[in-house]
Amino acid sequence: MADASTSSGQGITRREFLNYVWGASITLFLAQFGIGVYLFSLPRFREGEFGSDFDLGKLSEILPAPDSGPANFPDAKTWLVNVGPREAAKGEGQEGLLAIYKVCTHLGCLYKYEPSTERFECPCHGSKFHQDGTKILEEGPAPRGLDRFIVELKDASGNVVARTPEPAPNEDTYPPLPLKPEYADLRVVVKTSEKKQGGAPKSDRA
Amino acid sequence: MKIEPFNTLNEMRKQYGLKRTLGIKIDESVTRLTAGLGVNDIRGVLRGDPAPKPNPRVKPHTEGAFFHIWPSFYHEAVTKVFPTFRLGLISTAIFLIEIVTGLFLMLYYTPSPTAAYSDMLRILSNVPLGMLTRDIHRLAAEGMVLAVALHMWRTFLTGSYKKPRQFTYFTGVILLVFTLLLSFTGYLLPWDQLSLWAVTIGASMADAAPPPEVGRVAGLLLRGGLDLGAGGLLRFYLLHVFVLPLGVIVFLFVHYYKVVRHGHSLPPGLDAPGEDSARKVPPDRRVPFLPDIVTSELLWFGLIVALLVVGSAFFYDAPLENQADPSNTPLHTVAPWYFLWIQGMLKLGDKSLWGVVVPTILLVLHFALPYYDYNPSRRARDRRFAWAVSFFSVGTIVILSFMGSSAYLVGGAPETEVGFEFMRPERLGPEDIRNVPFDALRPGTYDTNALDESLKAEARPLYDSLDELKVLIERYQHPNLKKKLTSGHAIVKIEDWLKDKDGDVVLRRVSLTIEWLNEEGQVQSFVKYVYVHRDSSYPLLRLYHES
Amino acid sequence: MNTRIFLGVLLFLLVFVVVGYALLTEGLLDVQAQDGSGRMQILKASQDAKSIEIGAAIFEEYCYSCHGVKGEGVPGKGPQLNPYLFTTRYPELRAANYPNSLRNFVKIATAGGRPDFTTYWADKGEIYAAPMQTWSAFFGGPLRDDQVENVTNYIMSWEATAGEAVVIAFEKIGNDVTKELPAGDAARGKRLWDKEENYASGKPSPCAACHSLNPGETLVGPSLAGLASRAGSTVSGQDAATYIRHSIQAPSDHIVTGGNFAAGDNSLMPANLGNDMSPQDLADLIAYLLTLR
Repeated sequence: MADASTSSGQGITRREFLNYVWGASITLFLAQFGIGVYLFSLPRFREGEFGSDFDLGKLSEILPAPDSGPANFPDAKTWLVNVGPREAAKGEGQEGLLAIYKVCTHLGCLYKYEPSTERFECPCHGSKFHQDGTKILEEGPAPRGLDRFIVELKDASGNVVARTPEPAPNEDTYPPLPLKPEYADLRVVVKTSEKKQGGAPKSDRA
Repeated sequence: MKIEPFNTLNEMRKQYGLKRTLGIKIDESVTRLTAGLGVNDIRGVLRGDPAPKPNPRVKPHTEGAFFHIWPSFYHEAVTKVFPTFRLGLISTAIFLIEIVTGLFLMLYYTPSPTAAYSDMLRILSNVPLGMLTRDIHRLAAEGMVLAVALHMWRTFLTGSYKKPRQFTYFTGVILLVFTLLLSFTGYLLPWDQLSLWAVTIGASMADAAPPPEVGRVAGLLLRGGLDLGAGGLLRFYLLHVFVLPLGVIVFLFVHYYKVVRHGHSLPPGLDAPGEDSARKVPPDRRVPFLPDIVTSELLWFGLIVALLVVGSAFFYDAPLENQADPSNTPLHTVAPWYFLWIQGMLKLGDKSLWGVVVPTILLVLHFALPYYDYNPSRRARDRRFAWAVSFFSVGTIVILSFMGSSAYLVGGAPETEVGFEFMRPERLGPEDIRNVPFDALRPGTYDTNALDESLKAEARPLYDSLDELKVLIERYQHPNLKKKLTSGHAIVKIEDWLKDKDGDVVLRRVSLTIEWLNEEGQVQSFVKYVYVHRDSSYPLLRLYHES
Repeated sequence: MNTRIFLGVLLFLLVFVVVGYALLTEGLLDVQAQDGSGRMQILKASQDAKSIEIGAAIFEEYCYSCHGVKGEGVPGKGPQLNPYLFTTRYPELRAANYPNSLRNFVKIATAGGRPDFTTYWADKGEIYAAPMQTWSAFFGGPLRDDQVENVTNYIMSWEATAGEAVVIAFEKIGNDVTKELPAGDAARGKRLWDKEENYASGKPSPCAACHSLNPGETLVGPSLAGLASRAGSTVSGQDAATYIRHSIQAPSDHIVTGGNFAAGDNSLMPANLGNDMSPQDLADLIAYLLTLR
């Protein structure tokens, strides 16, 4: 046990006070240093690197026909799907443009598009998804539908004309971006920095 | 059930109350952490109260690990700025800063010729505080070489290397060599033109080691190849981040231990010649480590950090030239400033003699100095010869450094020199056309023989630049020169080259044609061109950007 | 001692303020990232600009002679890049499901060269003297990876103004060898040859790319040194001026022997150089060539 020393019980001296202030300023500096270290070390992504935006090209040039299967963009790790009426009916019921992340929501494998069954199928554990990313409940262990990126349609000056809409209250994931004829000349930008989770699995036996 | 430590704590709480129990426990923890200082002892230190008897403030030194190497008090005479200028402390503080900034830079740097330069570009433009970290690292490196060199000079002038401190000095010279090598190996890592060619020159000193077989092997070992490439970069990187820092830490430990073991040498006037009372400090001249020396050293550390941060943020930009091009050596390639004296010596004659043998002899003389200096006195008046030799050496190094610079004996043909000054390939020079702001680069053809006065009003910076060019040419018309630009004049043509989508001109082409008469009176001409972009700023941006 | 502590406080606070200022101006905030006002964004723009500068210098050193000073193409040597590549050629490729981006297409061609003698100007009757060589050091060429990157950036910088293909209305002389030409000015013809002045179409003269004026030096076509002395006696019935005119407007009519100047029956010299010249241009050029004795 420490015994009471001579300096307890006395008032604070100027030197002591200044030392406390110095301690505070050093602590402030170290805290800022810590924040600086964190910001320094966090990797940043440039346009064209996965983690940032990808300009895939003009909508009219890259858009597949509705319900005809996805277009492949390996750099962006994206399948671009034009969800038409047939696929929308199978899945969540919304039509439009969808940029689906190529990584399966189960354990990280890259699933494939199977033309014979016209759906996405993962070779690792057998999860299967409709073209609009909806997970088929009975098929495979994936916990949710496919993750998707926010898509923006930009004009030549870089203004965002259309963007993936927010989910409605009854929707559990971001829906496809509805397409209009006047969008044909806009550029499709997939924002791989904004990844949104897929929705709840849906049973096919309805 | 009685479960420790809760049982004892509970007993204490019942006896002393909760608050006092906490106080006692905290005090115990602090005492263990500091190897002997309780909370009240620390408060006494912070207040600057005189130490109680028995003095607990020596316990961190006698029983702790971190404080063990430091003495618990200094002689008052060695705590002042004069005569040490605290250079040893400054060198160590800078070394610590280099380790920290270096570690951060390692997060983003790959030591390969295909990646190094683009990693540098990334650190500068896509890492928050990346440019500040790199600039501090570079500025501190220059500072460390300077501090260590000045420290060594100071120990010479105060005779601190004499008995019993010979081995301390010996380890100190080793540390100087390591510091120079650290700076030299780090120089290569950005892999730009400056790095590659300056280090190529330096590394070729290894080739020049006599006899030729040894030199050849030494060069191969150093470069990992016949010229500096992927192998060399990797070896220099390993030296720079691991081998040399490890060496510095080991020898710094020995060096400082010896300093403390013998005591900091006192200012020469305080002792009689041959005496050394550094360890016998009278009690009234003792300055305790806690709190006074700690306060002073922390202050110096803060000063150095502040100088480096403010300097790098507002005044200093570490250079980055174009990517290393192994097939093209730029004009006026020079070694780093601390090796300019060797480059100067190389202009005196045979490279083995002047580049290897002489520096090695000088180095050995430095190492052996304490062992052949038998003069027991450290006082200046008893060492006039030593002081004279010292100042003479420093003067010689300065002159040799000037000789090593590109201003001495390396001029090429005059038209090449003029073209070089007007359009330097790697960095801006004072007479460079790219100093002119982009908007003032009016398209047109301009002849230095007939500069239009109206240009002064419209585009003053361009007029001034062309005027400087005219003066530059006239400099090479001096009658004493062997090769002259007789009747020389320059025609500068500026053309708009590229527009962006808003219709603004973003790229201009500037061509320089120098025409002069040779000895037979025939017209000679020399052409050079460069492209200037509106957004490329030379030099690299300051933090405080004025657009 | 108190002074020292106070100084210490000031110094650490100074560092805190300066580093804080640095953090605020780095470009971490969204608004700075968007309008490019942060230090990182400004420096990135500066690095991109420097890349274009270096790319322009590389283009001038290596690519001019075949692709033209500003990428407008040199008939017989290299196709037009600016603006044809952006306005027509790449869209055609995309329509045919070419999978690469425009930038990659440019980079691949720069790095790896081209396999054929004819490209998309086949509809204009273009045959090239040689296929484009490989430029990347990876494939044996002279350029490092970063240099390929730089010249690609430069070429891509034309895309911004590619929509503005300026159509200059002028009267072309074409292949009509019978149309009467005005009086020729040899001094202007020399300026055309030296590219100090352009043809009426706005394009510079491509002749020097294939024809040297040094005796005996064959670049692609024969040397024109002393042309005026022999032009009148090469084809019977044609005087010097007529022969020269036919050589320019209908090069396959007579192919000079003594070198590899033909591909099958056709001359390697492009057949439609007249499409870029006005009658005055042709007259001036002929007048200049007639001074080469």
